[in-house]
Amino acid sequence: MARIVVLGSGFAGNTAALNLKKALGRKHEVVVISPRKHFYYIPSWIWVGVGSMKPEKTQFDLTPVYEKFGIEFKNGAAEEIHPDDADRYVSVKYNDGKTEQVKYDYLINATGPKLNFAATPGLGPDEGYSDSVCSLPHAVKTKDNFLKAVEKMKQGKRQKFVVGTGHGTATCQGAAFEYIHNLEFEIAKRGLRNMADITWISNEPTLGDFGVGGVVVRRNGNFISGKLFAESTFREKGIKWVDGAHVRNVKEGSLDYVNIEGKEGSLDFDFAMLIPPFAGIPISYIDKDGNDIKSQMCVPSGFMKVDADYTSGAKPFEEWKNSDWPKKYNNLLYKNIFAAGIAFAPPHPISKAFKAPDGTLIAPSPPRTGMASGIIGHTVALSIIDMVKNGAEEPTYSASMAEFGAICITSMGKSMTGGSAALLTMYPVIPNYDKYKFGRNLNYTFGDIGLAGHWVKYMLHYLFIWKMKGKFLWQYIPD
Amino acid sequence: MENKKDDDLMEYVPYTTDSRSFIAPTKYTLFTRLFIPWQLIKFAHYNIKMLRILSKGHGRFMDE
Ligand SMILES: Cc1cc2nc3c(=O)[nH]c(=O)nc-3n(C[C@H](O)[C@H](O)[C@H](O)COP(=O)(O)OP(=O)(O)OC[C@H]3O[C@@H](n4cnc5c(N)ncnc54)[C@H](O)[C@@H]3O)c2cc1C
Repeated sequence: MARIVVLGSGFAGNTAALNLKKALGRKHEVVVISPRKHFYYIPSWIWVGVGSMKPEKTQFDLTPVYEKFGIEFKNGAAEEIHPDDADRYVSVKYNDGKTEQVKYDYLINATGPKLNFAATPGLGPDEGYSDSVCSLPHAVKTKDNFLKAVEKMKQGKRQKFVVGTGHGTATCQGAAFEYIHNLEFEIAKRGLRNMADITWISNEPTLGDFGVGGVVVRRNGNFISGKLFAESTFREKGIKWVDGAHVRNVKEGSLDYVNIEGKEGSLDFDFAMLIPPFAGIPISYIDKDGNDIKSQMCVPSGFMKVDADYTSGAKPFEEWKNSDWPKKYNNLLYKNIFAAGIAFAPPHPISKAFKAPDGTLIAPSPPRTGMASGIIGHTVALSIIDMVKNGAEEPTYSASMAEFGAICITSMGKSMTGGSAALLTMYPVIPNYDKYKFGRNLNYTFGDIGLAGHWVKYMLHYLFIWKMKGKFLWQYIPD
Repeated sequence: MENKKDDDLMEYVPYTTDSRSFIAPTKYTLFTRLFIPWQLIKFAHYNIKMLRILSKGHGRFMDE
């Protein structure tokens, strides 16, 4: 009997756990360890943050799901991984302070990101002056602050809103882009648009880069860059923008930034929602002699090393290759340990990295979206199933971000009749300029804006929650 | 990298940084984006587009 332990119950972890249990049945054990017993449908937090969706609608309790599937659930946080054969276990800490050693044969690290607000002085809702939609409590607090600003506008007080990324290496520009459009939509809906100054600030080298090096689509007989799409939406809504910017610090009511050209600037705000950079969840890796081997297992930002070419990170943009990206997501030192979703360390950004003249790095980190996380979690599960059932010595399934596509639905206002969203599909996620003139296959790379996009976004909310609950025919809903 | 013209972004002002790459939706575009019969067709179209991407197999391959 094999025991597979999954750390994390998000898009990657939950997808892996459900698929593992379905294929391995009662003969083998699947254990999920996670500090939170809920699954969170994170993409809808941008709606929670403006008060257009109730927080409860974005979460559900995983306990009955795991009970139904026969998955053992441990509601605690992994603190240490001891990977050596003689003493192979994860040390888990529970809320009441108790700890347990959980043994495993195969381990999937799907712990997602640590929100690294500390990277920018004054960033974040806990110890700083900006809001965030990257956790549910943050999104709820953001909604409260947004509604307070709305009240002030109703009383005739003009308000300044700043939305974007709070650091030169942040990712998730797409979420911030959704948030700024929903914020504008909610303000306009209340007839208060003339009382609001709304500004976008982002580390993307140009608008529409989204951390994936931008996109080019075919439209009306032209090849058009995503920059124009993004710009068009900002002009339509009267949103000002600052791009290529690293936020140096956030103070009460203002922030300072430097951009790629070295221009220093500052923005005043009454309300700011800024996405922090991500780091790996702090977990220690200890070998059989008690030595800390984290530096061999993880990159400096704490994400776990897998089968990527990490030497490529030192090379210039022009020399990055598709083969730099991981395929099987197993750690090379311990082949029974995998990392899926945000937890794996990418070899380098997707977008070109820039530096301000003073050396400040302005390089959006590569997004690992919910769809990518689900695909990777599922792929890792298939490899483990093959190793357990058929005795495969090495992981057998692969899914490189250079070989699969992405569907991104960017909400721009939540209403079944007056809302809209930008639908963007791309293939592959990592551009391949050797193979495709514009980096991607334009038969599969597509962009459009409209109400139907909102319907799709809304449909996916319920479809994915259905799938993540493991309900009837869940396995046929694509990752 | 900062847009130079701060006052009214919808306005086209010749010979500014912005004018070189000016783009904004027309009234017709804005109308079609919310016109429900057209959007129903788009909804079907989007689903086909998404299925086509998914049909690329999620890039998941088993080794030979
Ligand atoms: C506001 C916002 C909007 C987004 N919108 C979209 C979108 O529209 N489409 C899209 O595709 N993606 C979107 N994303 C990205 C998407 O949410 C992530 O890609 C996805 O959540 C990553 O999945 P994951 O499983 O790697 O991590 P997560 O979903 O973050 O899950 C991590 C899991 O690990 C657990 N964990 C944490 N620490 C430990 C520990 N020490 N031990 C054990 N478990 C631990 C957590 O409790 C959690 O269960 C958005 C992200 C944000 C922040």
